[in-house]
Amino acid sequence: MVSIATGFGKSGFQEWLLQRVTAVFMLVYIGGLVWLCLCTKPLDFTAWQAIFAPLWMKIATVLMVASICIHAWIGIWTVTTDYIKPLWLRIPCQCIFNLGLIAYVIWAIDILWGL
Amino acid sequence: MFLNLFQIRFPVMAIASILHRISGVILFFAIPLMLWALQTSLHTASCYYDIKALFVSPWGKLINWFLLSALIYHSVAGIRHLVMDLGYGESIQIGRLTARFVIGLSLILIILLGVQLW
Repeated sequence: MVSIATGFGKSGFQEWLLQRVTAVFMLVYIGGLVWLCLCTKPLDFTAWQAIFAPLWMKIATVLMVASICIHAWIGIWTVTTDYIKPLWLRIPCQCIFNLGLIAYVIWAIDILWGL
Repeated sequence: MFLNLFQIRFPVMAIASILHRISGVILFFAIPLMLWALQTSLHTASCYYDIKALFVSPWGKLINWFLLSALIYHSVAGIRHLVMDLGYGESIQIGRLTARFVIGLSLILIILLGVQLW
């Protein structure tokens, strides 16, 4: 079995599972948020802020951004591995993308708790 | 090696797959935009209404429609992946059918979204 330095395990099973789990979570979150927005009328600033005020919503939103980042990490890994063949180019690219994704999660925490 | 993409005939499942990949990459670049919009909209009331105005501006509607279309397609095609993971529709015939269904449904939803926006 080839050891893939840029993957989690040997078989790719963790990646496969993480993709699916994060995908389902994101679908549920987006559906829930859309439903919440449609239910609050009028959706003015106070109502919008109130949606993100409760702790459970803040946690869910950070989990959502984390899910996006895990999902995108694996997706971008797939795409770069397919299209950027030279390792010396691909690994820095993946590092830059992944740092960006981690930065997004930290940014999301700041957005939600800096209110 | 024959790589003239304009002359190779592609099965519909291949088209569904590459659209899934392209929409994924588009969404990746949309992430910072969405975070910025969230941050600004939660900051102060005037920022919130600024963002709202941006969303209904002509360019805003176009960008929204483009990004939401990518999300719609990626989600619908993703659900097809999940269904196939569960074991349904793995044969060529059904795979072809679900691929067409995904593209068709996404087009309908995207057009409906366009109507809703404009």
